[in-house]
Amino acid sequence: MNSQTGVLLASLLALGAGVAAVVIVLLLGQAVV
Amino acid sequence: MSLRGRAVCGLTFACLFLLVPVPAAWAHAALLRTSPQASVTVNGSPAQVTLTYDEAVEPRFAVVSVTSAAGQQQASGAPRTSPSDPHTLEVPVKKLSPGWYLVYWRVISADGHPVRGAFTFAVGPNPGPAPQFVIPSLSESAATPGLVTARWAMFLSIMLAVGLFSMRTLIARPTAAAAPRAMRALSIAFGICIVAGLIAIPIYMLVTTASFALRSVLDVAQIVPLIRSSALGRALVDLEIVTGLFGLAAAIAIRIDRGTGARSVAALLAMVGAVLAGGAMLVVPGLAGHAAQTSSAGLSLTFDWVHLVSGSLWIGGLAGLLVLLAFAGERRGEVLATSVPRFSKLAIASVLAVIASGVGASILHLPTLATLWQTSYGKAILVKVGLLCLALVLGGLNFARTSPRLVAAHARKDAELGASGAGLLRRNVTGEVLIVAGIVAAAMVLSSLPPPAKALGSLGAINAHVGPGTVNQTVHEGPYTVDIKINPNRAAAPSEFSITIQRGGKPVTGATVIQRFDMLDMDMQQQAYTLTEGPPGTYSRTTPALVMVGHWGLSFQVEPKGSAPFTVIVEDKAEG
Repeated sequence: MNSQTGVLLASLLALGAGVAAVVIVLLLGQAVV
Repeated sequence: MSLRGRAVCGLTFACLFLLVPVPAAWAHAALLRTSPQASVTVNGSPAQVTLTYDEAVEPRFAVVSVTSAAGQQQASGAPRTSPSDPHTLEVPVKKLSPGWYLVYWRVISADGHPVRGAFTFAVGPNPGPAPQFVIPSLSESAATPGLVTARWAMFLSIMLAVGLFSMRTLIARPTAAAAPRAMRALSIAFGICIVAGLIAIPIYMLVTTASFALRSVLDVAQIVPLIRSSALGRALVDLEIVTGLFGLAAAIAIRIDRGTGARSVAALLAMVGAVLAGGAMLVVPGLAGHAAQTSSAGLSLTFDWVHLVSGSLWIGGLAGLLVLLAFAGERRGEVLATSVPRFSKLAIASVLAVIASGVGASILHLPTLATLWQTSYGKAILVKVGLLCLALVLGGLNFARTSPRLVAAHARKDAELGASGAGLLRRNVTGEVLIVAGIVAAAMVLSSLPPPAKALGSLGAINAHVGPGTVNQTVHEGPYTVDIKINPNRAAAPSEFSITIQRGGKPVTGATVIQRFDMLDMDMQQQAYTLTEGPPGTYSRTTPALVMVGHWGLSFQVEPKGSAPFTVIVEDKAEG
């Protein structure tokens, strides 16, 4: 795996973490509001 | 740091602490109904006592005791949630013999605050006169020093992390080539704050769950299984996960950014991920606290979020400036000349957002303007505003005097003027730090107080303040003279409420009199009773409607025969 692919995968991981965080908060919001 | 930067820093620091949201301003679980009803005589022993609240309460943290007049415990089991209604708690009781019984309860609200209350009922057919029960304390605060400290550490860590991340990736980025060491220091500071947050959140979880369960915080093995039993605990678990995701996304975003020139697509994707995670993280405190429980939850959550985001950019940015100052090395002048003006713009926008959202949240929480000076909650806000004004005076001094002096000294290379400017600055900043410490103390006091009850906004003009103890008060309303008597005016015990109405010295007979009870210290459902006429012009009823210790709004709505109706309102203080 060259470094460019690594960087791209890392950026997708970061994006995935952001989306996961938003989903968790939406689910929490649904439960409490 | 430039003059403008200094002034902005002083101002922003002071404002930040003034307006740091009260993330846990409380909406309490209100008791709506009980079975048996409060102060009612039931024929035969009930199988259980039920308490219905306006929100679901966790039975594992609920305490409900049913005691006889002799003080013997009559509950035969632990409280449990009713299978038919999650808002209702059921407590099985032994077979009760005729007599009076005291029900004392404590539950944890959805936002993590303990509420206590008590009421009495009688088992007939001949219960006898109501005894004077000894009621355990009805007040319990969530703002113990341990809880406040843990919460403070948690908020400070995640706010600093967000601000340091923005400082590293947005504000100071253009100086990366000039001062790579300072950039590294910013990244490390961000990492330290994330780790501190990831440690502080579980600590707060433990401390808060221990207080719900009335256990020692050292009883970890007993507390951990209970963490997810409360709404606040579940929200904190989510906060821990989301903070971890933010830390991961932000670390990647920092790592893959080349630092100079245009950002690559990969770096932009990672930035989007980090911004999403950071934004989501700062929604959680609102969801876990009072904001989600207010009637306009969407608006309240938005205010909370804007408040936290802008406050975080601000305080983290200030911390970032300190890091740059310490680690920029030889090219400090260049680094600060680039970063400080950029931060100043962000800081001014953040200050405005913090103030606007703070004012908005205050409008939502304060039912009337008068509650600003009439309630402890409002007074605490005023104390903070006063302290802010002091801090602003010092900030203004820095802006108007110290800064020009320092600029002039730099331009003229005047060492003496520079030294005097530096001395003045040191004094002012020391003063500001002391004031900010005071503002933080006021913020902690504020966060320990419940916001004024909505009933204060709808009650109307109060004719008299009465209590504690037996009341015998005369008030005048238009052409009427009204004598109000409350005896013995004690919480959780039957009191006789009676009013004698006269007009021109003659009793007003045949009127319809409705008495309403509004709890003023916390939101609770209004109760209303019709008073019955005994001696001509005297209307009375005996009821244990004062179910809690505290301030009550008592409204007597009088409709005299053939005349216009009127209302007399007194604020009563009831003690246990």
